[in-house]
Amino acid sequence: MLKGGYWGKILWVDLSGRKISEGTFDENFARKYLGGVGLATRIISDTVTKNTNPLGPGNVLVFATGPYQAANIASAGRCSVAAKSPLTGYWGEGNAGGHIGPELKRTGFDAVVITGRALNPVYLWINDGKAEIRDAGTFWGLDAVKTTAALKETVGDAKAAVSCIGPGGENLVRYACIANDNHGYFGRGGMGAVMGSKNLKALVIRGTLKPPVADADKLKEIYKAVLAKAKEAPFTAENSEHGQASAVVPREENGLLPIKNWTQDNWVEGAAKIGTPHYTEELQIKRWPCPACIMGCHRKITNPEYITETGGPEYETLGMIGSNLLVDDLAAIVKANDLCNIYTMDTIELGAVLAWAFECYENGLITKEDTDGVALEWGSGEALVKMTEKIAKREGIGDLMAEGLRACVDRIPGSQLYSIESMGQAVGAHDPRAFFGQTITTIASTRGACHLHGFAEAMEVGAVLPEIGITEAIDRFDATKKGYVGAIYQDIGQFWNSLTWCMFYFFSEVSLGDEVDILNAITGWDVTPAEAQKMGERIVCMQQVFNLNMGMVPEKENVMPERLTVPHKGGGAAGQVPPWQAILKEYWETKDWDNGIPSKAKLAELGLGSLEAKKALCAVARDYKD
Amino acid sequence: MKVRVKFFATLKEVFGGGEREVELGEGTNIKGLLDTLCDSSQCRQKLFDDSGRPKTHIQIMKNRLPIQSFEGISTRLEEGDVVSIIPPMFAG
Repeated sequence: MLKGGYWGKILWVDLSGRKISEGTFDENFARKYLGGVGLATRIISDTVTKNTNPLGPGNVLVFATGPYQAANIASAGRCSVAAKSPLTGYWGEGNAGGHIGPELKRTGFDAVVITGRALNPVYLWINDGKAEIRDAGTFWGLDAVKTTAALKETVGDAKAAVSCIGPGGENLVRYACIANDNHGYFGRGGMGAVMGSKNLKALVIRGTLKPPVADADKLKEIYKAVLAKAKEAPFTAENSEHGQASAVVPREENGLLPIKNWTQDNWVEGAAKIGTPHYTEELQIKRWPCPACIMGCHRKITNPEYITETGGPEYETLGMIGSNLLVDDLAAIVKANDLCNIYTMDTIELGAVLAWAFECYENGLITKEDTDGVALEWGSGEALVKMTEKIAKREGIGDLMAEGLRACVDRIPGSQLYSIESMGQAVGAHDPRAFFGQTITTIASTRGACHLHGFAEAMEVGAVLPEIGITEAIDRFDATKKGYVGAIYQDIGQFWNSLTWCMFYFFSEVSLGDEVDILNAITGWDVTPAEAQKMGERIVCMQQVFNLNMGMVPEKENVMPERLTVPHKGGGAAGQVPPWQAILKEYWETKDWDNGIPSKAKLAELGLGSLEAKKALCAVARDYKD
Repeated sequence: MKVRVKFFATLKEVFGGGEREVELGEGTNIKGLLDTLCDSSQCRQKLFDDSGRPKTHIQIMKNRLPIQSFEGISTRLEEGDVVSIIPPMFAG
C-alpha cells in the first residue's frame, strides 16, 4: 500500500478518441520505477515500438512527477517529460524546473500519459482530479509567452501552471522544447515537437489537493537539518548570486567551454563579454527561483534595454550560441535565447546546428544563395538571430536545419566533421577533452549526447558519493575508473530524475544519504543508498533496452565525435584526449552489458527479465502491479 | 622572482581579488606557490585537503596550460609566469 509520495494514479489521455481515463499503480511498481523518468521509461517501453513514428499518433508522451513533488521542499520544483525522440529515434526525455511538477502532483495524479493525435489543436486542462480536452484553435500560432498568459486567463486562475509549445513545436522542429511558465524548459530531445505532432498546444494544470506524506514529522526534522546544511554551502550562495553564467570565464580558462565549433582553445575577451560579472551587471540580473528553491539560479533580466520576456541565457546557452559561434554580442545572445524560449527550441541543439552551418559557410559548402543572403560568419550576432527565426519558422535553409544535425549532414556531403553529436543529439557545452569524466555522458547517454545524463564531471570537482564507495575526486585528465564512475553517476542521475529533484542541491552538500532519508520520510520506505543506485541502474538499463529495440547498434552510436578525438594545442586542456574506447569498455563492463547489450543475468538481477521477455512486455498495460 | 596569480569564481573573495602578484624564491614550484598564498586557515581549506596535499579538484594552469602538461604540483615557476586557479564549478 502506498503510504506517501504518490496517489497511485496515472491520467491517460487519448487525443485521437478524445477519451480520458485513469490507471493505477501499486507500491511495488513505485518502489521499482520510483517516478519521473523511471515511471515514464516503464510506460513508454511498454507502448512504443520500433515502428512507432516519433511524430505520429503512436508515440506516447509522458509527463511524470516523483515522490518529492508530494513535499513542499527546496529542490522539488521539478518534473520529467519523456517520449520516443523525433530528433534521434531513440529514448527522449527532458527534466525541468518550474511549477508544473508540484502543481501536477496536487491535482491527484502522479503522471499524465498522452497518446494519439487530436484532429484540431487542443489543450489539456487538469484541475483537482478532473481533466478535460479543450479546443486550442485560438492559441495555435501564439508564442509561449502569449500562450501562457492567454491560457491562464482562459481558465481564470493565474496560479495555474502552463506547459506549452510555441511555433517551434507546432512546426515540428525536431529539437523543439516545452516551456513551463516561461521559466523552466524541457529542453532536449524534441519533446515539444511530439506535442506539436499531437496537435497538443499545452497542458494547463491547477491542483489544490494535499499529496500524502508517510511521516510528516520525520520529514520536517530531516529537511530542517538538510536545509540548514544547504544554506551554508558555498555553492548555494554562488549559484544564487551569480547563476550559471558564472561558469563561462573559468571554463574558458580550464578548456571545458566549446569555442568555434570545438576547434579553438582560447577566447579570453569574448568570454569576459558574455560571462559574469559583466553579464550580471549589464543585464541587471535578479534571481528567479523555482518553487521553494533557496538558490534561484534562473536569471531575470531587468535592464529595460534588453527586451526579453523570459529568463536570461544560462551556461549551456552562452556556450552553444555564444562561444561556440564566437558571438560575443550579449544583446544578440539574449535576443536569440528569448526567441528560442518563446518559439520553444533547445538552445544547445540550435547552437550546434548553427555552428555546423557557420563552418559549412566558411568552407563554401553553404553560400549566401542558400541562406537568403544571410552571411553565416563566425561572431555574427545578426546571423544568429536571423537563423533562429528561420529555423523556428522553417523558412529557406531553416527548414533543413530544423531537422537536426544528422539530416543536415545527409544533405550537405563533406560536412560530417562539423557535426558534433552522439546518437543524433548535439554535445552540450562540456568538452570531454577537459574533463575525462564527461566521456560517458558525451557518447553513452541513453538519450544521446547529454552533459547531465550522469555528469561524472561532478566527481572530478569533488562532488563524490561516499555512500556507494566513490570517496574522492580523480584528476580530470586521469582516465582511471572513469568508465566505472560514468556508470554509477549515470545511475544516480536517473535516480534523481525519478525523485524528481534538482541536482544542484547535490553540489550544495545534500548527500545521497540525505536524499534517501527524505525519500523514506515521504514514502515510509527503507530505501538505502545502494538501493537508490540500483533503482537508477534499472531505469538506465530499461532505456538501453528501449534503444536496442529501436534498432540502435551501440558500437556505431556510442562513438566520440571525430573532432573531439583531436587534442587542443593550447588552453586549459592542451594536449589532452580521453581514451574513450577504454572508458566505454569499462563502462559496459561495469553495467554488465556485452558491447552495449545488457546481459540476461543483469536483466534478471534488475527484475527486467531477458531481452526476449522484455519484448513480450510490449502490450499496453494500464494497471500496474509489478 | 614575481609571478602573477589569477583567482576565479569563489576564490576571488577568499583571496581578496581576482589577481595578485606574488614574490617567490627562485625555483619555487606550484606547491610552494599554493603554500605561500594560503596565509590563513580559510584559504588553506580551499586549496589543500586534510593531509596537506593540494586538492585534486582544484584546476591549476600555468600560462594557460594545465599543470598536468608539465610536472603537476611540482612544476617549477619562472619570472613572469601567470598561474590560474579555478575552484570546482557546477553549471549545466
